[in-house]
Amino acid sequence: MHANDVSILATAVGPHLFWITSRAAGIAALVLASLSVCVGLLMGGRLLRAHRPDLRVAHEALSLATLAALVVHGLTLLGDGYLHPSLGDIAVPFLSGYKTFWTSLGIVAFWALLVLGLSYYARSRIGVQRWRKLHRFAALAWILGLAHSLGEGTDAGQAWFLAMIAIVAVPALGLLLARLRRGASVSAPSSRAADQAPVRQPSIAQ
Amino acid sequence: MSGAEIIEDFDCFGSRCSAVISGAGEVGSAQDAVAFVKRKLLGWHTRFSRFMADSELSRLNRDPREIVPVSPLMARFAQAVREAGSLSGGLVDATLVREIETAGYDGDLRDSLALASALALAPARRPASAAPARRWQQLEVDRAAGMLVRPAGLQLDSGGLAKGLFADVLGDALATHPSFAINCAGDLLVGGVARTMRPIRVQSPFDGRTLHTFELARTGVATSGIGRRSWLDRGGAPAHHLLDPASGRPAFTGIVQATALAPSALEAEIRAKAAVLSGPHSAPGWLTHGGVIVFDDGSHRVIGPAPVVTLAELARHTRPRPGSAQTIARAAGPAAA
Amino acid sequence: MRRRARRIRRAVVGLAVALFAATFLVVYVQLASGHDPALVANAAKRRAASPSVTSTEASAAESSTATSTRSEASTGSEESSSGASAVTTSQS
Repeated sequence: MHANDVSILATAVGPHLFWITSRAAGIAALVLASLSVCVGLLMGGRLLRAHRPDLRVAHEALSLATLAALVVHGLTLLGDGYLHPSLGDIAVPFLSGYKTFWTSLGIVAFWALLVLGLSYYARSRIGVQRWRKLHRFAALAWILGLAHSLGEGTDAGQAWFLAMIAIVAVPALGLLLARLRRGASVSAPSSRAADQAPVRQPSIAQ
Repeated sequence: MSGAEIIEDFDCFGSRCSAVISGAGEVGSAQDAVAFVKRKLLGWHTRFSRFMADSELSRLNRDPREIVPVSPLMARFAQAVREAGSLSGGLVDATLVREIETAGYDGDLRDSLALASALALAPARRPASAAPARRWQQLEVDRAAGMLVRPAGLQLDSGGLAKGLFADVLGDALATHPSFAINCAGDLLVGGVARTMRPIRVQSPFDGRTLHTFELARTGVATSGIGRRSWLDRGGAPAHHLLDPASGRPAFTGIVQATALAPSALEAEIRAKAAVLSGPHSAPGWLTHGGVIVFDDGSHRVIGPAPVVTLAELARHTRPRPGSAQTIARAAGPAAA
Repeated sequence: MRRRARRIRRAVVGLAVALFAATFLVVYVQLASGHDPALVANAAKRRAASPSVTSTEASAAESSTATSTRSEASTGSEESSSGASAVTTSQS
C-alpha cells in the first residue's frame, strides 16, 4: 500500500463525518427506540410488576435518548456536503418529488414519537386517559422507524446491522404482538391503574 | 421515483461526451439539466483546450508573468495538477506539455497504429517514475485571491485531469436529481439521490469488447491507457501520449489500460493513470476502490475491495435491493466554474 | 429510589453513547477502508443468462467475493433491472 493512499482515504472520509454521524445516530436511535418499546410494553404487563417504577424511569430515559439521537440523526444531515438537504427536506415528509418514500416514513415516525412522547409532560392538561390511548401509537411510530431503516438505511444490507437490530427489535415485536393479542381478549381497562397520575384511593380504615 | 431518462451525447474534448439524467432537481427538468451539462462542457472545452491558441489554458501557458490571475475553475484545475502530482508520488505529472509535443511531433507519419502492433514494436517494459524536476511542486494556487504562482514557462496539460474535474463539478450541480451519469470523454461520474444502480462497462482496448460491468449507484470512474492513439515516430518506435515523467518518453509498463473507481472522477483519473504507469506489480495498489487492469497480453484482472471482516463478507452475499439506499464517499468537491 | 433512578438514567445515557460510538466506528472504518458495501457493489447477476467467459487472473487473495467477469459484445444502450442506462468508460 502506498502512503499516499492513506491521505487520499483520509480526505475521502473527512467531508463525510456528518453523513457517518447521521448513520450512527440513526442506528443508535433505532436500538434505543426498540429497547424503549420493550420496556414500555413490559410496564403494562404482568411480568415485572414489582419493578414498575424502575421500568418507568428506564422507559422515559430511553425515550428521551431516542429523541435526542433522532434529532442528531436529522440535523447532521444538514451538514452533509454531498446531499445538502434543506431543513424542509429533513423535516417535512413527502415534500419533494425526488425524496424517497422511506425517508418520508422516517420523518413521520420522528414527529409522531416526538408528540406522543413529549406530551407525557402535559398529560394532566390533555387528560391522562386520552394521553394513554394516544401514546400506544408510539409503537406504530416505532414500526415506521424500523421500516424506514430497512427500506432506506445505507447499512440495511449489512450483517452487523441486521444482527444488532434483530436482538432488540424481535423481542419488541414479540411483546407487541403479545400485548395486542391480550388487548383483543380483555377489553376492560381497569387493570391499568398503575401508570396513572397518582390518585389516592379513599381508604376506609386510616 | 425517477422519470424517463434523457440522454444526450455529443462531440467534445476530441472524443464523445454524454449526459444521462432522469428526473428533476435543482438545475431544472431532466431536459434542462442535460442542456446545462452540454453547454458547460462545450464551454469548458474551449477554455481548457491546449490545441486552441486562444483558449484560457493556452494563454495561461504563454503568460510570462510569474503571478497570473486565473478564473476559479482554472485555479481549481491548477490545484488538481498539484494534488495529482503529490498523491501519485509524481507519476501523474500534468506539466509535461513540451515533452508531449515532442513525442507527438516526432514524426510526420501519424498513421494510427493498432495497439497489438505498437506493443510488438515497443521497447522493454519498465515501470514509470517521477520526473526529477517535479515541476508540479512549483505550482501555488491562491483560490481566494484567484491567483496562480508558478515559474514562467511551466505549462499545464489539461488532459485527463480536467475531464475528471469537470465531471465532478457537474456532479455537484446535479446532486439533487434522482439519477445522473456524466461521461466526460471516458471519465465518468455516476450519482443521484435515488441511488439507482447503473451498469458501468469497461472495454478492452484491443477489440472493444466488454471486459467487465460494474453496477454502482454513485462513483467516479476513469480509464487510462495507451491504446487509444498510437503511432510510429520518426525513429520507427511506437509512441503515444502517456509519458513516463522520468524520461519524457511514452511509457510501456506492461499495462495497456487501467480503469479505476474512486469517490470522485478526478481521484479516479489520478488512480487510473498511476496504475498504468506503475506497472503490473504496483498497479493493484493504486486501485483501492476497485477497478480493472488490462495487460499487454490481453488478459485482464478485476479488482474489488478485499474482504475485511467475515461479517462484511457475509453482508456482501446479501443481494442489495435496487433502490436501497447506497451512498458513496467523495473527495472534496471542486469549486464551481 | 431517587438514587436508583439516577443510576438508571446514567446507564441509559452510557448505553446511548456507547451505541453511537461503536456504530460510528464501524461505519467510519467501513467507509475509510473503501469496503463500504455501498462504495463498490458488484451486483449479483440479475440479467438473463449471458455467456460468461472468465479471462481474469484474479488471485485468491485479492478477488472480491462478488467479482464476476463477463465477456459480451457491447451492444447499444442496455438497461439494468433498475432501468438505468449503461454507460461505458474509455480511455480519455
